[in-house]
Amino acid sequence: MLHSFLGVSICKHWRLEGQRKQSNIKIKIQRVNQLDAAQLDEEVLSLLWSQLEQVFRFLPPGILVSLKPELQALLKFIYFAQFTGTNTPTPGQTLQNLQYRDERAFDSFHWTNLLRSIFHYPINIKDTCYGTEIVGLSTKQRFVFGFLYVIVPWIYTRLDTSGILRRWLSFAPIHISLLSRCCYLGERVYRIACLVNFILFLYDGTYVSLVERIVGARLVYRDLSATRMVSFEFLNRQLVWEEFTELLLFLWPLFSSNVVKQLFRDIIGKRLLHRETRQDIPADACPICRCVPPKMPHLARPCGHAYCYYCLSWAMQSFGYCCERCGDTVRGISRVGPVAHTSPTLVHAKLQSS
Amino acid sequence: MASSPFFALATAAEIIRSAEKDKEYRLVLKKSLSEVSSLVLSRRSHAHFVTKHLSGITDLLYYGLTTWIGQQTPGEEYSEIIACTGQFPRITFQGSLLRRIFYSLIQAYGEDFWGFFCNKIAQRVRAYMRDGQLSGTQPFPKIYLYLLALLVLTRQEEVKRFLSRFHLGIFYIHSKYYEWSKRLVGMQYFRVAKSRYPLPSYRILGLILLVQLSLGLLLSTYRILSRKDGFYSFLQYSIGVGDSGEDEWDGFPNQLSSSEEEEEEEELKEIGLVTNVLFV
Repeated sequence: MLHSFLGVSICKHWRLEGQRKQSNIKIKIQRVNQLDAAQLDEEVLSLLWSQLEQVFRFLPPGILVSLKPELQALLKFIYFAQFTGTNTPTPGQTLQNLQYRDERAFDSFHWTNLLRSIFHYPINIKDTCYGTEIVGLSTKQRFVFGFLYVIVPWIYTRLDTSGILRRWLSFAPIHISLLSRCCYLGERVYRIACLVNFILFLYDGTYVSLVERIVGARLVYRDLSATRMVSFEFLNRQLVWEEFTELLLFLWPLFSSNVVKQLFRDIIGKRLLHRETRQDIPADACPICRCVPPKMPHLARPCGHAYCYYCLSWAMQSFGYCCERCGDTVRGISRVGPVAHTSPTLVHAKLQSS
Repeated sequence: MASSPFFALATAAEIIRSAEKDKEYRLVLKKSLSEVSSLVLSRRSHAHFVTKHLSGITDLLYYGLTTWIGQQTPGEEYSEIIACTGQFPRITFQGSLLRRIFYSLIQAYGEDFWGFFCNKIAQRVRAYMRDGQLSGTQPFPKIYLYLLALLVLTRQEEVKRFLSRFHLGIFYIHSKYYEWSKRLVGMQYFRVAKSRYPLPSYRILGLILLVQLSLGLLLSTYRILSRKDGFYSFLQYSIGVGDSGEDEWDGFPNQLSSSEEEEEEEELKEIGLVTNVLFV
């Protein structure tokens, strides 16, 4: 019965409207502008909040925390009253070439118009030429917008942060406890509604936030001839920097100091270089740490010179390591006999012989 | 695709910026979905949802509400580019419905499907090898086993990263197909911006990247082959490690006991570490 009633009244309204004009032009505002405008406004508010925090730095600690919901609500109220409250676009909207308009005057499918049509109230749909005409938000609309944007979040945050809701849930009489449960249920419903709103926004690109959808405040272009200016300078610099950093990080281990040394040896003459530089190493010492005898002695292959195990294995980590005594490239290491069961003097003698 | 005086293909910078913006908005949707699931579901179900399904559902919703129904994504709106398929002059803007559906599904579940497919192949190969060893025959040294092992290797994170970097290098050179899914569907971009100053090409960056990756690949192949039983170890690593989600996917009984399995995994992890170092 109700369904048929709704259907009939809506059809009647459409017919009446159809007699006046066929339909309003549906405009499509880019979703990215609306999303970016909301994000920019949030950033402006966070900047203001950081300034306010600086003011409270000299006051005793704890005051800012206890007054945070009120101060945030106050900031939002000032921001709202300054811009949307006076039908002026916010800084984010100005940057994105957008402004609020009263969508109830253009969209007969808005929920308020549908309700009006059900109860046979007159609907005032304006004729449009391009679909982008702007009618500012009415006073009642702005009042509801401000209430939903500032007051309701403040009430919920205050109740939640002070722990009143939890206390009510546990100790209060049944009707207060029920109120607390309703608040939690309301939060769930609100979150789900926000998600549904965002999904609808992705689909038709009309209202980026739930409050805007409820109030009927739609963002439209202020200037139709304005073009988007996108700068790619930062992206270019970032990509080039990342790529060259990664290349250097890849190449640096390959071109280690050992490779350069080897190149010099090849060019100048490794025998000459070796004799001039490495004659000072004692014959029975590790060429790297000069320890006599080398600890856990290992031989560099293929040249067969003895080193401490730790020194040689650490030096082998770098690519193309050359023997400190002869300058040959070390390709592997091998142990000098059963070191664990021999005395240092025996090892010393063995090394002398080798 | 041949360009015409009326249409200009989008440059790499525009496509990259578009993809970055889309990623940002997908994160917004993901956060919103996660919040709702934390309020509606129990903690256990919420954790399961977040780890298993959140990413796929977010992508499916995002691309389902934009590309699937033939709309631009917000990222594409930002860069003022429009997707298209086909050769000039027979261009289909946004592509056909089938391609758009395919693209959305690949974006959402392509990687999961590929992982599932690779796990199945790895299990088959492992079962085949074990059966061969038990029956005394040696089915291992066959070329198709190596090929399958190479295919299965693509499920490892470091190999995925290598392949995505390689694909990025190709994209820098040709300025086409930023993602694998777009390459599969054949989706390119036209610029619809009214006026824009000429944007630089990333061709040099692409060449540098490809040279670097090729050198890395050569070095890693050399190091693997220079190891004792390097190729065998490589194959074992490819089909053996990374089956943490095996119980969920496979339908095959495990033939090794748990202790044997642990020992085997320890050995293979060592080889895995080598491969990690090489590819990254």
